[in-house]
Amino acid sequence: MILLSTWIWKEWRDHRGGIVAFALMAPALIALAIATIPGEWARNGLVPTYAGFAGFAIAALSFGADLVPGELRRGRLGFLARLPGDLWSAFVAKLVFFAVTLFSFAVWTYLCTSLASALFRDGPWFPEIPDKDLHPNGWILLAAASWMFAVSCWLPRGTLAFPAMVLSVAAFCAPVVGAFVMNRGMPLHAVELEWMLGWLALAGVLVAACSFIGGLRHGAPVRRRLLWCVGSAVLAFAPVWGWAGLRVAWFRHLDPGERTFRISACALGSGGRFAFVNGFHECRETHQQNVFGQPFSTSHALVIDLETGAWRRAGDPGNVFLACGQQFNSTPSPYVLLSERHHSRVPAEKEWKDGYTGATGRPLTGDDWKRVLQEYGALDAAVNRETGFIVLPDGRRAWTAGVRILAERAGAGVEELPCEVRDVWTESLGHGFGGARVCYDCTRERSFERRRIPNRVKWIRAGRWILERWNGSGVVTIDFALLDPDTGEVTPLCGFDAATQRIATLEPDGRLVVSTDHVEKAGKLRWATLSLLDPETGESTPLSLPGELDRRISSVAARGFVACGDRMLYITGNGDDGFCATWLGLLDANSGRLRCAGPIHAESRGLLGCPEQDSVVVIEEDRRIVRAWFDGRPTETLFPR
Amino acid sequence: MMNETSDNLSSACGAPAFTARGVCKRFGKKRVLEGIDLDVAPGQVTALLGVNGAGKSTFMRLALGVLAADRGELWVAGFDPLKQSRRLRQAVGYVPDKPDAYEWMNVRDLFRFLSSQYPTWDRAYADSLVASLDIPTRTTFNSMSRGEGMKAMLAAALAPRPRLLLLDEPFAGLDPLVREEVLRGVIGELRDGERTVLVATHDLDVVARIADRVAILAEGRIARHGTLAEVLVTAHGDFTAGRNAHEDPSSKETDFGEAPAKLHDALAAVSRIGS
Repeated sequence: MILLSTWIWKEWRDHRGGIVAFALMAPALIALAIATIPGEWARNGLVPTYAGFAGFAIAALSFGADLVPGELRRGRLGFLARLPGDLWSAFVAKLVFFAVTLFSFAVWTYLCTSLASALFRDGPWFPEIPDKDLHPNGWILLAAASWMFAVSCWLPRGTLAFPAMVLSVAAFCAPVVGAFVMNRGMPLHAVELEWMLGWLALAGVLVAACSFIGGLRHGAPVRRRLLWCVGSAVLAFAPVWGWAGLRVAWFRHLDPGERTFRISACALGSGGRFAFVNGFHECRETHQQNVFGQPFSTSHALVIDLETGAWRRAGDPGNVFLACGQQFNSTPSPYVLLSERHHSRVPAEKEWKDGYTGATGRPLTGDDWKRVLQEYGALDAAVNRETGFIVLPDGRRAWTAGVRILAERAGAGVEELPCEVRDVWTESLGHGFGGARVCYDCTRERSFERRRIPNRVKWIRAGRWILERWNGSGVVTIDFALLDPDTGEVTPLCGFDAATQRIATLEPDGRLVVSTDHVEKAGKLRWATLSLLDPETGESTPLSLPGELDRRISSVAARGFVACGDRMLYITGNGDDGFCATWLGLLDANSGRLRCAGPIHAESRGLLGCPEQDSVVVIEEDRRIVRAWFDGRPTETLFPR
Repeated sequence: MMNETSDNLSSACGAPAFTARGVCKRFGKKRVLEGIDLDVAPGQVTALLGVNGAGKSTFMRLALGVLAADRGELWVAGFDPLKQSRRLRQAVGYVPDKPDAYEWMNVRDLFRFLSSQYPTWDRAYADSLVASLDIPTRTTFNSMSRGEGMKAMLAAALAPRPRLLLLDEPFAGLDPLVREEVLRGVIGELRDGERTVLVATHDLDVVARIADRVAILAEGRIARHGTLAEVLVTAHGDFTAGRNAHEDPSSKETDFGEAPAKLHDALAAVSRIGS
């Protein structure tokens, strides 16, 4: 310890002139700067933080770059090398001195700037350093300072250290940058960037140690210096290169036959032969979870021929399908669009990468694209046409295109409905569309204030709207009421003492199937019910499944169901005890009875469609596409085979 | 490199304080040392003579572990210079050919910096050396004369009371008065007869005054090694053989007063003839 303190004292004596000069000049210069910059800047709480970064950088440039070249330039290396402490002690002292100087300069400039801002321009006293500014800027500075010190051990002059640092870090990071540039969809997570910068900072110290101690001892012959400097740098970067390589391999890996493969979304093309799947590999089951806790690999888009089970990748890793039709849709899609990456909203046109014809599974050609654009007007409108449409009482399909509302009768052209543009329509409501403040009723061609509409609105036929009113918070009860927009009259229908999960309208009589989840304490779902609601009479009729399934549905929560056609319901249940099951139910609308069409005794979350009358295509266990028969025959696995 | 025999040798009474066996060193394609064999007995002052570029300083740095030998074996004060460099440097005092301490240091700063590195540092002895050698204590190396600087380096090398003193041409470039002062300082330290000294120099007068044994380094090898008298006799033979082959070297009487001149002749002869 005494030895180290003596070495550090030597470093202090060596550099104290520069340090004292900076310590004295910094307050004056900072005060001058604070006094002259505009007031809003001077009072900005971020200014002291970035002044601290600047102080850090100045220390790195002034001292880190010259700690070792200074010894070489003055011919003191021989003196240090022959001391009993050897170059180890000298290196440790230089490192400690450098680190202390870096942080002292940063703290000093932060304090001076904060004080100057508070005293002269009414700025905040010692503002908090925002975490988002500290990371990764702090890591970048630390890594740069570390490598400045490292490369300065290779050089005879400190003035070369900065460009040499930039060049060497750029050269060594090139494979990593290349890996991410060539795999555009591969995201670099913030935590990964921080890990990498942290490793670079540590590696810089290790390389500096090797370069200084190994490279400069025994007379520092050129070959030895090169070996230690470049060799240690290569070794230091090797883990980063290896990580980038693994990252690319992990990013590109796709094998639907593996148990880890999962289907996140799927659409069935027109005709039912081709399926368009977004899949990924789940890492938790195989303990392949990376150090950053990400349980999933990247998303892959696959085109699957359900007749043969053959599949091919569409686009690049990271791309996703967004069907012109809802995901998990029961309606086969004529076109399926491929996007660069997942979007929580409809992506802009430039982000569409490619498109596929649903019936053939082939990429859209130039003519196909023209037809798509001609039919839909624009791609985002095309998506709305398929996913956000409503059906008006006269049978027209209506959807939004920006602030416009378009309508189309089957087999006829598209027309624009006259509506006063007062808002950007964001959701389909009743017979119209809702914005932030107003709703537009397409049948009456007029707007009304949104505040009159409670909670959610569902449409029914006969021009009336059904209102869904939520009472309470957390565990809520639901009331249904009818609204006649012409008169403004609201007629109460019925209530349910649980949060409604899904409402499906059964055509053509307009009766609703309502699924409710009944919730007990602690928010646990305990059971689910299905009811048939007649809006005309306000009557709610419970639906029941026969036999064992009836008991099952009362003991598991119905997580959701989808109406397929006008008679078939698809119900998925999850139990607290891990029980998972799916039923296909055929509803007799006249009698209100639900007949079990065929159970699928496995977790199955996705219904793709009913390409044939006697069966449905569903996603089973999130990883297989199977055909389930209504007559109870065993399911047939279509993919993977 | 350290083996049982070497351990026993170094610990035994009369074992060499310095042993070199087949030490080779080259810089790039230039071969500087090509198989140095040298033993220095404890308590003796051995002068390493050689012309400029003969490899004396290289050999000194090898001995201190600052350079690594390409081949061969070195034991200095019982230690391997590469594997036991810390212990070796704590046991060995080294005086370079010019003062190379930091320019901002004065002799007190130098002593403060060095004292923590040498467990055997004798502060009182260091002070006495400063007084006896008349070294200015407040003057920085930047302002010291070369002679003052060399005296400070000598005091710093002697203050830990090293078992072995390596002097790498410490008298080179000094004016006669200062050289005499430094020389007296060295001679004063040699009075107890317990300290082993290996001094690299081409100052023949110094050799004649302090050396018990002389080793002449030429063409990368120890060309002559022995007492001063032995070297003078054999060297004179070489010299006269080279100049006048028919004369009998044994007929010449050895005169130590003429030693520098004879050594000069010997050095010239060895350098010309080679080993």
